[in-house]
Amino acid sequence: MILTDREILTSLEHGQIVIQPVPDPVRFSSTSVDLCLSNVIRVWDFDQVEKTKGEVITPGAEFNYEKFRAKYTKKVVVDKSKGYVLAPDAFVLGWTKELLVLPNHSRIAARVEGKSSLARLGLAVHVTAPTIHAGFEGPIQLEMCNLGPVSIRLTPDMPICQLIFEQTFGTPAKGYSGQFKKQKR
Amino acid sequence: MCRIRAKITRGSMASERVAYFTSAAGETIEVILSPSQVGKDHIVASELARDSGCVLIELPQETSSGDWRVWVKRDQLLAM
Repeated sequence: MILTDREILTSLEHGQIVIQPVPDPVRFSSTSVDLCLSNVIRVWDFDQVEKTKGEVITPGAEFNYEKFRAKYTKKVVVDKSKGYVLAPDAFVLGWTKELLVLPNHSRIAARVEGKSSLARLGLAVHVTAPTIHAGFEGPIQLEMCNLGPVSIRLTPDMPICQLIFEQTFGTPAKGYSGQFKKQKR
Repeated sequence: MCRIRAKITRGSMASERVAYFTSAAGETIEVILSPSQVGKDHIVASELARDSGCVLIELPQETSSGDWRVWVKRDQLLAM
């Protein structure tokens, strides 16, 4: 079942969901809460991509995502007054400003989804990976892609995505312990 | 439910209306709605809270700037 705004607020009050900083009341809708963009994004290092042209990634047990990210992307701290202009077809990694904690015992999982106002412009905020598992802790990573024909300015603190919370049926035997637990920007 | 004073124009599709109203902060808010969600001079929204002359409303659709909830001044409300 999807949590309504009242259930989300009650869960926040009881620590069953932790969002820091706590979203302003206008960030809620009847069944979701909007999160905002942090000032850190990672962009592709095209010099490095060019240097290793022809290299093929083989995802799997041997693959180390952190090494991959460090090798091929650069951290950019975005100036709030200028923003970051996402060109058509560009793909960058971003994070929510808010930290999310879904304690395992709360029996709550979530999905991160785009906002219709941004989707209309062509902005996607995830690439087929919207699930936030019970037990998750950290800022939410956003895989942002401009699918539209016009550049989009991304500004720190802009509402960028929405979270939809769902109650799980039963308590998970094991909390989320995947590679992105406590992920950092 | 409540009615908020708004300027209503035709949308790019026959099934759309574009509404403009003023937030408590004085910004012009744009929201695309269906004809059933607007009147000649107003939009229909849900009233959630009141605070010092302002009303927090929830819209039936997300605004162009990405909000579902907006504070408006109480004098923007029309009688039901």
